[in-house]
Amino acid sequence: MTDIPAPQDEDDIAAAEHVLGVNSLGERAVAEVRRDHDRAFDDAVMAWETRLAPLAGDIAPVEPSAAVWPRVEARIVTRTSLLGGVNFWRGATAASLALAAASLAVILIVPDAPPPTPARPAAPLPILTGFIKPKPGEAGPLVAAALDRTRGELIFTAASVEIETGKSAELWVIPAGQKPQSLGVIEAGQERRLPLPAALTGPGQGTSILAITVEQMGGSPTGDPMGPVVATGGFMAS
Amino acid sequence: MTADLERAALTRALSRVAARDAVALREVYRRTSAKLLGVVLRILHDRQEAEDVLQEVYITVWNKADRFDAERASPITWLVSIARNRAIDRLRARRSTAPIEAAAAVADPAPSAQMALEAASDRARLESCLDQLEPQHASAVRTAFFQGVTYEALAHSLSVPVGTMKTWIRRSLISLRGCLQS
Repeated sequence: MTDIPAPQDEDDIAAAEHVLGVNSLGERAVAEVRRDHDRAFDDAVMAWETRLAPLAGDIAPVEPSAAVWPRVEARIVTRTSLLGGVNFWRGATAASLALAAASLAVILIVPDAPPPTPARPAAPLPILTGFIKPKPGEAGPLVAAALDRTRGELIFTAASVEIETGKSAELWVIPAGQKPQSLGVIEAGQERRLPLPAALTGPGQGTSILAITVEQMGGSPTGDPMGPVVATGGFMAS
Repeated sequence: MTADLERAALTRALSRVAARDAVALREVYRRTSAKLLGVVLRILHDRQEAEDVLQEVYITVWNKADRFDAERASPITWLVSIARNRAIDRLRARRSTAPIEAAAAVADPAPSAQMALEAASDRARLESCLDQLEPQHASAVRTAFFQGVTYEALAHSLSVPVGTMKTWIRRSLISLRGCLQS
């Protein structure tokens, strides 16, 4: 094939594929997590939404049944009254960010614990997503990851890999109380998919930590991390 | 109402939703829920499930309205995108995938009477760019957009290898981008 896209095009095509909707659940989760942390990618997605949205003009409207709005209303009222409104959540987020910034290892584990609702909530997606990023203010790799239990695979995309030349960035998963297990060397713009590592199949999968170390070219020769940790993260329910 | 007026009204309502105004969310719902249910139903083909997703869509709007930026997107594009995203995620999470309809048979609707929600000129430009693609490729793009199906399902429905389908779609997307920029 002669029309292999240039590397700078890969991200834009990934954004287009996400908008078109041709990806798997895990790939979609990775893209959504990436949008939250990578403004350039989010811009690319929104540009594609604008390009393709006119197609939706063809779709005939269908009036929803009268029961839908009361269910929406019940859920927003419950959230705001029981929990002191959005400020509760914003406050909690600000506090956890401050805590993260103060600690050496930045762990981006965001608990996803919506309050009980009277309306029937949709079944949660069988996905855990994670984002790995460097300590605040430092350059380093950015990785979006998703653990797709429907396909039994771990998918991740490196949005960027900023480390010194001549070295490799190696991704590790650290299940609670266990030693790090290598998921391999990562490269920018590369999407990787792996069968679900055994360490991530148990009930504690959501508490595993993801980390990136700087290793010699090609990765750690010992199977254990040797170099400095430059970015860490964790999973959250999606 | 013209597209411009609708856009301005929705933008104002969304900024009030961002300030946690439930009445404003009701207004967004009134103006857009029929359109968004149409979009979701087109992907899910199940009324009950589509209405569940529609409910999730407006909860998402409630939670994310502060991230809507009128400089970056039109409000209806932003809302349709949330609806498509939620519907496609739901489709993917189904245990078994129902066979999709043959792409060529359903996915090439003639441009219909223009909804006030979309600017007619944008639609005409996109159509003329789609017309420049190979008909089979354009049909695959439309099917992907309307039905939210994977590369694998698209390839299966048209009896071509997955790699071929990826090439068709990616090439088409690059062509569309170039055509729409010119």
